[in-house]
Amino acid sequence: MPFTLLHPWFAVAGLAAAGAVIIAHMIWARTRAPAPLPTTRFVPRLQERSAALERRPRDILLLLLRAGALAVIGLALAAPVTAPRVGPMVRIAVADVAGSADPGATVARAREIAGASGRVVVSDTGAVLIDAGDAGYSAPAAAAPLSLSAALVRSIREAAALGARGHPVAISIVSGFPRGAVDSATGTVRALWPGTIQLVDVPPPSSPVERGVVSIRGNEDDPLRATAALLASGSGRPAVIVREAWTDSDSAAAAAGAAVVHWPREGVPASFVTRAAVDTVGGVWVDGYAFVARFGRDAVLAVDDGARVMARWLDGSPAAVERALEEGCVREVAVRVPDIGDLSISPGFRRVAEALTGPCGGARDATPVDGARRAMLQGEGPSEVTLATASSSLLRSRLAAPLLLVALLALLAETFLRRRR
Amino acid sequence: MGDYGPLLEEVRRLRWRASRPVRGALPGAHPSSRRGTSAEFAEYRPYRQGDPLARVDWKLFARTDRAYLRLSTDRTVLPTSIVVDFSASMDFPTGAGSKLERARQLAVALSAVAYHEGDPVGLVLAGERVATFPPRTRGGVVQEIARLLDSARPATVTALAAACDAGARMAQRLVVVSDMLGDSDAVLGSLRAHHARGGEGHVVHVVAVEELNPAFGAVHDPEMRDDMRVLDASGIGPYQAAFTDWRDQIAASCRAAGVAYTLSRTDESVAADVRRIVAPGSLQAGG
Repeated sequence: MPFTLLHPWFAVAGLAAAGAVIIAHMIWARTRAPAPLPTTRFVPRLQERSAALERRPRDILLLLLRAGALAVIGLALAAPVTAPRVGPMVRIAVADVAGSADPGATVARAREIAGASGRVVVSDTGAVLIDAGDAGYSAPAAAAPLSLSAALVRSIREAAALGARGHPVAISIVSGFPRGAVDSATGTVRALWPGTIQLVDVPPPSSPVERGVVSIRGNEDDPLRATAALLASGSGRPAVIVREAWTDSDSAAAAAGAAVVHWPREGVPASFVTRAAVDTVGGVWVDGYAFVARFGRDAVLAVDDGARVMARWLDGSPAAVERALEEGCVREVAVRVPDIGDLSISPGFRRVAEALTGPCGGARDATPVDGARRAMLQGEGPSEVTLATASSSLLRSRLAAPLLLVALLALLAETFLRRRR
Repeated sequence: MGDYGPLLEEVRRLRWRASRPVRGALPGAHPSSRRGTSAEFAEYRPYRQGDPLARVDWKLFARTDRAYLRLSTDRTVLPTSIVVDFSASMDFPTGAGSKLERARQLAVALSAVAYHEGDPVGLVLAGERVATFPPRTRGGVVQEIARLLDSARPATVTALAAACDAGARMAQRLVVVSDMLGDSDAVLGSLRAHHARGGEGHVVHVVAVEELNPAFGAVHDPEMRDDMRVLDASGIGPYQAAFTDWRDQIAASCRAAGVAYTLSRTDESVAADVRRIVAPGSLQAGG
């Protein structure tokens, strides 16, 4: 099976270093045991070494170990990969259900483009890889706004794996291409793929969902009451912050279309359990905004049923989740709001609360991306990328680690041999 | 034991007289600083109350009507200690022909000469430790010294000055056989003090011919292995000049201290060196 090198210059450098070692062995530094002379003190201090080129290298075994280790290190850094036989082309289709009006139709279109042997990456609350022919996957009814970055990363990784197996790979994106589909990381991620990406348009999401009035059920001295009073409101469906125990009427309100936010003042929401020790992770990430404050984290999500994570602590663990309930949704928030202080009316916290009381499924911006960003997504290059044209950063050499291990063993043997001598 | 027979035969008839009167009570071959009653007339001295009447020269008294004592020169022995440097630098070049071998031969030969003179002779080995063999006159002492010399091995660290002090405490004549590449200043200090106390000092400076004309290449001091240098054609001239200057300084320092200095090259006859050492006036002649 033929090999190819992802970074051939490292191999050249390794061979050059090995050659330098061979030359060094042939340059016989006159370090042969100096002859004793008791009157050495009267010898003027001149250069204490002189060199001469030998015809044969000295210490053949040491030379082999040193030169071999350097050459192997160079070869390992050059990342040799096997070049398998060329297989059939595989297309990876990204189904951007978050950026399209009809998630089911978007996934179906992606399956159609990928073909039976292709792959589909569904950009839902995350990037999910499915086989195009996998009938077991059902598209979500609605998805939270999500950029294409995660789906592109997943697609490119899958493309690299397919490329290493000899398949030419093409990538397509099926999306309505709303403005939210491109974030600040998308350009960097897109640049990893050396070929053109086919852009397939489907209807974008419907018009932005508007906020409704935010009300709160809780004590009069609840700090969130002041927060709720400061939140913007519109003509959309209402949102209710429940600071007390959950009741059937709350479920009924959610089923009727409201966004009911269970944000208990004491205790933890139903999907969370109390942590053994309260820590101060110190910040919440919500809707692309990080708010840093002295929050005490006393709950951890215990029920992983695929609920949409609305907010995360800065270490990535969920802080708030949302579940659809008929026309509306139920949210559970485990961010403890201090009773004392003005945190609840600070602008940062208001922004957090605003995101947590927004429309079910999240507010989305359906404005299409501009031409420049669309061109960026499409890119340039071949439509099908093979191993030879793939960026070396996409591929991993399975031989690099074993080769480095061999080099390490050679260097250890060299050290042992040198010390014995 | 080394074969010292031919050498001892060569030096058998040599005499080694003291360079100046010796303090001593035992009868020997060297002029004593004391006046005695031997047959060798020295001088007359006026009689003083308390002098033994038996020593009055009655014939002179009869002629001059004055009482004089007839004084004669006493002769006494001169205890001799031979200090041999057993430093690592003496073991050059290794094997036969080394400075150490030369020092052994010189020590045995000088011991024999002193023994034949009737003097007690002892040995001090300046090796890793200072080993002393007190001066003796008994038979077989030269063989005993030869055996001690042959059994001793060179050491990296030596205290030659301490050995000189030990030798000076045992004998009035002190002979130091060394290449002087160690603590030469301290050695000269010890010999200077010995001379001030009325003793007689000799330095036999052993130099290998390989040190005078060393081979080119990397060299190092056997006592300081870190000091490695390269001697080539451009360096031999300065090397020889520096080495000669240093030897001249040693010789001058010895003469200034009243110590006899003899240069002994390993390519020259040992017996000839011994003759130069024991020759009268060696203190003035130098190397």
